[in-house]
Amino acid sequence: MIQHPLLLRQLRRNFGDDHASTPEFDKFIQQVEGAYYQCDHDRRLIENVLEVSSQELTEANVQLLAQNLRNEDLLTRLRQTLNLFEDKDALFAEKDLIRVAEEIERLVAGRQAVEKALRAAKEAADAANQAKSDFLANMSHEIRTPLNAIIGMAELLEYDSMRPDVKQCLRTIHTSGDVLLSLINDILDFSKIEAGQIEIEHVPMDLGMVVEESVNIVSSMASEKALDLKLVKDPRLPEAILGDPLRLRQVLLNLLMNAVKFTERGSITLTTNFKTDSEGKHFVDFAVRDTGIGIAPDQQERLFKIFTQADISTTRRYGGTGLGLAISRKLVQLMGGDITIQSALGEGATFHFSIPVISSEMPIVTKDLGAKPPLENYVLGKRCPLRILLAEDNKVNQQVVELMLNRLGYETVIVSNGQEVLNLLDKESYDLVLMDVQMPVMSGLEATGIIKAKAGQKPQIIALTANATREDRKICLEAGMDDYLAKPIRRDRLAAVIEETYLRKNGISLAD
Amino acid sequence: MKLLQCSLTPGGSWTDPVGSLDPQDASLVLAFGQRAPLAHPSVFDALKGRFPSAKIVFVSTAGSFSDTVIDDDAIVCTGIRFEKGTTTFAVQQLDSADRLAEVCRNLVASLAAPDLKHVLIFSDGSVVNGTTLSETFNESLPVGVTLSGGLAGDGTDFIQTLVGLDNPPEPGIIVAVGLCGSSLRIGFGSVGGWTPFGPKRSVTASTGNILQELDGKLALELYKTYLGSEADSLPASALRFPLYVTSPGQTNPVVRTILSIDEGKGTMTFAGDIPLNSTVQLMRASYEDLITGAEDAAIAAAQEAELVLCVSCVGRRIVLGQRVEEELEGVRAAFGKKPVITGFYSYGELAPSGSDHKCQLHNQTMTITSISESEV
Repeated sequence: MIQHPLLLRQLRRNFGDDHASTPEFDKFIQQVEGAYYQCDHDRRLIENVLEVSSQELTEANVQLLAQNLRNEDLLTRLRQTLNLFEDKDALFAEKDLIRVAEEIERLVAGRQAVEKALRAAKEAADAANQAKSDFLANMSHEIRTPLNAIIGMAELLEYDSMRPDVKQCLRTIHTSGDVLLSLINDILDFSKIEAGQIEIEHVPMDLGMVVEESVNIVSSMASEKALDLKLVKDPRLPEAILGDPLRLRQVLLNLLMNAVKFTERGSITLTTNFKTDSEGKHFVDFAVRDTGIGIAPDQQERLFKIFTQADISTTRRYGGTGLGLAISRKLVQLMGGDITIQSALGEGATFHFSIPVISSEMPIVTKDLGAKPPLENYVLGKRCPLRILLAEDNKVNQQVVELMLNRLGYETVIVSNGQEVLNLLDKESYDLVLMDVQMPVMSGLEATGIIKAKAGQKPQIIALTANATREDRKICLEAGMDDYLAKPIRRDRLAAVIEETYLRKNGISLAD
Repeated sequence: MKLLQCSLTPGGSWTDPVGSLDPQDASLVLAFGQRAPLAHPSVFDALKGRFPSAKIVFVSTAGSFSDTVIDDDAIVCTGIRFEKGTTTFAVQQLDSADRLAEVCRNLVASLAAPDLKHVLIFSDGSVVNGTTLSETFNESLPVGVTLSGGLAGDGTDFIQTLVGLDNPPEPGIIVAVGLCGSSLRIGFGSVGGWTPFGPKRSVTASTGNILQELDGKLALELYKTYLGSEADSLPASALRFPLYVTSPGQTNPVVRTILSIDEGKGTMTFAGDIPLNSTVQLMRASYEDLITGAEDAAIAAAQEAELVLCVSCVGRRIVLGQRVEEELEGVRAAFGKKPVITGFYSYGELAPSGSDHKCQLHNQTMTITSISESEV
């Protein structure tokens, strides 16, 4: 049935209302109607396209005109401003110029005031921060001095005592002192990190050795608890890298000690893995895995907050300050990585971090830190005879070091400041001066400078420093000291340094 | 080269054959038809009965033709026998779109012949990504071997496309026919005839071949505005406005045609990728432009051909309507009376382009492969 109005009209006009139809004719007419409808569709579509398209273009045109108006406005204002400066004689221009100048002055003054206020605020904040750091450093120094004495004395008595029960008591005093000391060091470390005072070194270091040392240090703790301590070392680890051996060891020790602490049975594994990313950068992955109590997922992020442990009951049961992980994370972040945890309650924990490493072409200077059998009393003095002078103002420390030297087999002369050292050296000669850094009248650093500047036979000088930080060590060595000993003075370290001094004095190289 | 062309009508009878080839001797048969008649259970046996020693390639289409006549009810069959050249065949089922590259490499491996000259591809047109297909073949085929063909169609329904080799056709099939022998001469041409119009727009949201936004507005809404009352027949009506796509950092625009829409998400899926930040323009074509385009494609492929295989885009059929056969007449005029012409309306055309003759997926074109065997 034909419906297209034009075709219907044409049929009616040419064939009348009821024209004869044949199937062929009908089929033909249907095709014609299809073509009519398609033409109509196409025409409507094109009209619509024209309509929409012109709307879009009109809109674009309006936008362009608006943009043009804005541009012209800007141009006019720019032109007027330029005229202000050119047309100096015009009355209105002068007035405007003054107004502009005043406005500029006001703006500048306002900004200066803001800058001044900001500077003052920053200075106040810096001062407060410095005061906090100084206070912490002083406090820790004050606490450390008596603590050093306690630890040193306990260690000495431990060697002297024959009774096992007394030995055990002294051992407890000794280890408690150590814990207290590491807590103070932690607090100091953390305040320095917060104040941005810690810098990560990039010196040639033996990565493999740092890893092995860290495992060795905790191995006795692990074997006391019958834990299996394993080290899986990637054979591809570069021998020498540029890095900070002290800080890396600190992080590894913290993670390993935590693992030992929170594991009752099973194993602790330190895994290292050498990787190279798509850009050719090298990384070392460290993972410390334990089979301990584990940490619930919702507790994991809390671990890294200072003074926070997984929960209060952990603190009661396992002790600790909760500072170690926070420090470790900050240190790892300074090294260009981050610490992550994988763990579930009761299923052990894996602490993982990855740091970028740069292979070092430079040789590594290491000292032989290999464990030596405990030195028997009075033996060293016979093997390495030296004349030793001790400069130390604190009476308790004098006593501790004197006793230690005595047990090692040395007679010691004691003075209490740098000036006295100089006076004595004028009259007598010594092989070794153990020199406290901070002393009244004349500091150890000043005295060292004077001694080392003199001609002729000079004693070797070992600094006794309260802070074992790199900065302190650097200051001592720059002042001309030969080595340094960190307080609390340990009998074994003291013995080692004396032995080294003896070898050096007799011209035996220690570099290898 | 001997040829025979005839059609299987819906009643099961055969139209009068054109050509000198005895159906018994045909070694290759191209069978094109709309999905419904092609899938009829009797078709496979009827063709096997008529061409007992031939390998038969079945392809569902958006319209199939012999000479210049489109027949939507019949199965258009072209029987071929090469006198000197030989043929190799490969067929693969694509069970997962991720495996397309692997499937194409398998096809190339199966076709391998020392004198392989050209590959005809007849591929599923609804799940196969034509860009990946042509790129993988380009990488895998030996240097100097060319490739052409097309993606199967499904009228204007866009539901399911069927392909088969010597088996009843199914979805997800790719058939490759290798033409071997130095006597073969192959010509190509691929021309659209579309013109970009209206403002240039930026692609502000897209994923792969799915377009979401142009200039911060839904692309589907833009199409609906332009289509007006024709929007009711989306997605087919959107084929009237392909996109002229210039990818960021590129200077050669490509024509991309719409495959489907998702009303819920307001997105449109195209036959090739529409990268983010591309510059696009709508395209339109007049009858005359399209017909001239087809003639230009034929002139590019022209030679003393014996067989002309045309793959034209369904979008052209939608625009040309009843006048669609005029583009076939244009092809015939360019080639003269001699060659047998067959082909189909497809969902994507494949043909070499550029100076290095690498195969490319084309949209909205008339794509022609002309074949002959030299007398020497």
